[in-house]
Amino acid sequence: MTDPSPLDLKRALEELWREVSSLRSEVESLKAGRGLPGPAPARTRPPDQKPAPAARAPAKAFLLCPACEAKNDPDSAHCDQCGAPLTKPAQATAPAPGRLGRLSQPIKTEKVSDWVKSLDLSTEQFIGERLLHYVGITILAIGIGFFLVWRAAHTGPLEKVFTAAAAGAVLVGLGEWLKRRPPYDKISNGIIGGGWAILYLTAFASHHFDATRVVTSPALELGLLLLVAAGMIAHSIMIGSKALRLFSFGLTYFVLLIASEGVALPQVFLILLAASTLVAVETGHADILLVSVAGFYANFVPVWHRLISAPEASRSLHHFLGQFSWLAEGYLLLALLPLLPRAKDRLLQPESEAVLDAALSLNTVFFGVMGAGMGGTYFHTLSFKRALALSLLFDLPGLAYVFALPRKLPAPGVAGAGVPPRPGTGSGLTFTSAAPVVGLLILAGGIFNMPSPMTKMLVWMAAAGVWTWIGLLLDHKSWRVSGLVMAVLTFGLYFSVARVSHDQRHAASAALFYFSAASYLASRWYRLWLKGEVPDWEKPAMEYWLYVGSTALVLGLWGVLDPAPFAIALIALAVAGEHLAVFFGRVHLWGQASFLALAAGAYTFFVDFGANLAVAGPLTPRLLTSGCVVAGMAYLYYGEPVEKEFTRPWKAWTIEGNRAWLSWGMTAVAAFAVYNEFDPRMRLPAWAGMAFLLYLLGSSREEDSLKKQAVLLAAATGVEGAVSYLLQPKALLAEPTAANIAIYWGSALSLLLNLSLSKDARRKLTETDRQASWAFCCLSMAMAALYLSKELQSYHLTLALSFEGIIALLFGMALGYAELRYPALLLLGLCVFKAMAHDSSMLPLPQRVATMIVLGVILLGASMLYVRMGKRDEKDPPDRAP
Amino acid sequence: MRKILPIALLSAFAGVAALLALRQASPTRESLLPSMRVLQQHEKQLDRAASQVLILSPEEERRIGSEFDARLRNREPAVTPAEEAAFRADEGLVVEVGRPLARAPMVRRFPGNYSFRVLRGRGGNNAFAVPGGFVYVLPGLAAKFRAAPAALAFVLGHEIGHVELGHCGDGVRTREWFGKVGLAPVGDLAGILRVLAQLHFSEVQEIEADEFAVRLLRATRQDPAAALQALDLLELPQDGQTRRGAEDVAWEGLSDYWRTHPMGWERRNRIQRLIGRRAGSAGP
Repeated sequence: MTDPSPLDLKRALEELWREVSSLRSEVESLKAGRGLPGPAPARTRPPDQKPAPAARAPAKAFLLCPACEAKNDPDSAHCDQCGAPLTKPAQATAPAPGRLGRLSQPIKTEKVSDWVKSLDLSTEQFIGERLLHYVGITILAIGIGFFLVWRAAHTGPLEKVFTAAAAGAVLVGLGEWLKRRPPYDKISNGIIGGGWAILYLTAFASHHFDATRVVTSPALELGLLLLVAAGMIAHSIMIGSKALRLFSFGLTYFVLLIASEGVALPQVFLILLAASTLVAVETGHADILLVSVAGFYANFVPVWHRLISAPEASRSLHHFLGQFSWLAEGYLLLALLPLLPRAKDRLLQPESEAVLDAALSLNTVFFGVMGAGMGGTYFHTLSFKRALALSLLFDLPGLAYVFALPRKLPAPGVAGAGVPPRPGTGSGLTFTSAAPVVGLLILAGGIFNMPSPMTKMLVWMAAAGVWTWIGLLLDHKSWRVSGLVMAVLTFGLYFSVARVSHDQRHAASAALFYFSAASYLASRWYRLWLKGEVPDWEKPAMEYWLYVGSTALVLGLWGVLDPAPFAIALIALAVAGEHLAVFFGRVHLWGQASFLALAAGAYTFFVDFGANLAVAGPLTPRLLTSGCVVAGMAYLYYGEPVEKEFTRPWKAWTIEGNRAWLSWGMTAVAAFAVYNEFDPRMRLPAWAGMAFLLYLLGSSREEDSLKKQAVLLAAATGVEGAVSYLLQPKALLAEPTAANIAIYWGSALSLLLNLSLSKDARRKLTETDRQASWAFCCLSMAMAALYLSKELQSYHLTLALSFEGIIALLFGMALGYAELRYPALLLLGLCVFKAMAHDSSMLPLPQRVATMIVLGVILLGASMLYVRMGKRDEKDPPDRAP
Repeated sequence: MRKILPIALLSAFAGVAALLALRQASPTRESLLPSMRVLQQHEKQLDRAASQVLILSPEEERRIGSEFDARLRNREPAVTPAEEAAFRADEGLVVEVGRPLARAPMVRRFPGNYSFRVLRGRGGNNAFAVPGGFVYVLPGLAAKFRAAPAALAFVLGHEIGHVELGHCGDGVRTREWFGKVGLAPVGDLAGILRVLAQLHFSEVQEIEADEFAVRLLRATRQDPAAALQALDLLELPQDGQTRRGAEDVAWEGLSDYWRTHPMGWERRNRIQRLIGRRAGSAGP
């Protein structure tokens, strides 16, 4: 008897397994049948138990091929793999229906492997197919490393290098072999990359480490490194793996970065960059450029360090250019790349243009930073000439992009003109915008370092203008935006220049006038120069230029003029601005002018007029300046150079509001000037006169605002008289000359004239008119009383004040003005108080007696007057209400 | 008229601006001080208003001053005979210059009753007054002004001004009054608070004292331009930088609280305004 073959044993085992499974099923069926004589009752399940899944289709049985052991469909007659005929043992031994029939049912394998299905197969696949081989290759590399460390103590450099190189080569070979052995092809790239890394680092170690130095010549070492790098890169491209490709390029640049000076030459970087660029273009892989840009500039850091470490004596332009030119050539190589038709066709494609854009943008920024930084640190400053030369390296490619690159590509599925540019194409590419911006930044740095303030300002503004103009002519947003931003920054430059010295401030201010003129021109024509549809952000450009022009003009004037003429210039600008606004139809100009008028008024509060010596007759700078400002404000207020309808589009404030502020402003300016110009005595009549005029104007124009100002000023005059005039030592007051006395009393009495207006029954009187009547009467009497208080003493003062009181009372009764009678009674009351509290105790007897008698007579007289007036009123009621 | 008026107005503005720019009569500058001085002036007047309520008679003020004077004399160190002789010579000059000032008609609180002394053993170029009409000159200042008696007159007039205008009396008024009614601790506290408040308006008091001194020089028929000479001898900084940035203007305004005296620019200009001519120009 011969031994059974493995195939026979396998078949027997399958049969046996089927039998067991069938028996198990039979047992379970029988158990269920005994417990269910009738219809099966509904089984309750615990609430946390999920409902049973729907019955699954029975798993298909399979047939093993006797030749190749491959699993086949049970219905197949031949093997799918080798084509050998299949036998169907299950059918041959098909059990009879009934008990045996149930036993012959196909195996329900899903019950056995339920736990496997519950697992996350993707995680498992990741662990098995990915993680394991990464961990494996890492452990292997570590093992090799330990091996090398162990061997290092026992072997010579050549053996070490050979061993390491052999290990690398074996790994590369193993990776290639596995690539043809699915499913192991998935781990092959990692093994290949590791192999090449070992080879490349071995090549590096063969020169740079004593323990493994077999190559002594830097040139040979460089050749070796490049050779290995070329092999690695070529292999990665052949394989087509992006990760391996980026790793290869990155490793190449990194190793050169840490290489010795004899190896890491600028030329090598350039050659490597050129090769990388060539490869990128030919293969259409823009990602190579991204790695290459980062590697190229990173490798230039040590070059930069060496350059700035050079001794001062050896520094020269020639020496600098010797190193810088390599950097510039590398930059230009990439910067000009998109202009080459072949590169444009291959790289400027939707799938790769984002990466290309990133690479070229990085190239621009890196070169800008390194170029300006190298020049600045080498020469200790960034001169204008060098900045201009460097800037051209950005500006010229930037201009070329505008012309050579597609400006507007139609969106997919849309054709025709006027289609908005598809993002990321043509002028939408970041690097086309980065070039002019970086170029302008560098140029601005050079301009900033120019010595002459005037030239500096002019060149700065010219640069801003050129960039804006290019943006307008070529319809390129980034050129325009960078120019506009630089134009705004002109003001920052101005302040930095102006603070240095007086002369610099003058020069910078003069330059601002040119800027202002240019800005006003631009505000007129900018919209016309814009091509095509104006973007939303640029729609208010005309107004923007208008504001820039006005700001430059005001700042320029501020810089060249003393504060006093400057305040006059501000109000002159306000007057001229309102007229020009109407002439040109620019409501924004009116907004500026109306603001300037208020600003001119506010500014006068912050002008220190110094000695304020008279310049023309009695006119001092303060009087002249405040007079001009008030005159300008008054003209705008009363002259009404602008129609209300014209200002409707202006939303910041209304013309009515502005004019109201103007009226209050001019009163405040005038009052402040009077306060500072006159001593406490003479400022009272001046303020009283102003109040008189304001009320007169308010009444004639029927403007309640002016009347309110008059009342407020009258009240302030009274308070000021009590606080400043009364308390101020006489030694510090102006001499009471005849003219001064006349002015003082004339002003005090003239206030009463306003009563004819404020109590005129023919006019429509308001609450303000009533207040004005009281204010003017009180102020008039207060001014008289203050003067007497200052000039008289003791009982003379009491008598004089009593006299003033009785006179006012008489007039009040005669005219029927309660506004005169009440203050008069108050004054008389004060006199009584003074006589009782002060005079009676402080004065000698004769004066005391005289005071009492005279005051008593006056009070009796007043009382009689009241009685007489009462009788008269009973007979003939007055028309005028008190 | 509507067309001519704005043109005429702008022409007038241009003319005035040109006049101010060309005449350069008095340089102007941006500053927060003009507005702040208005506030400070009124603060000072309110402080002065207390003198109408908390009355301090000249006799009481004199008594307080005498106590100050005694304390100052007691602190004077002993000096060598040679130094004493120099002090006496300086003091003689000070008294000689000060006495006519004290007798001027505008000196009303202590007319002819001022005491002028050179205080021994003190450094610095300064002078000060205490209530009651006691004026002290430090040796450094006395030495510096030996050859300029007119300038010394301005300095003494300034100190007399502090007394006459009540600045010295106001400093002790509150404490004295509370002391009289048996509330000395309250008076001390009020005195401290007043000193803090006075920091805000002491510049105005100095300006007033300068003005008083100029008027006093005029009243005694002396050249008021000596005031400018005094400022020069005191080496007060010009601080006349007229073109300043906003930060300088703000700093000057904010730091004004901590200054007891106005800065040189302001004092010189106010004196020039009072005497009616610029520094260095010929007198009327």
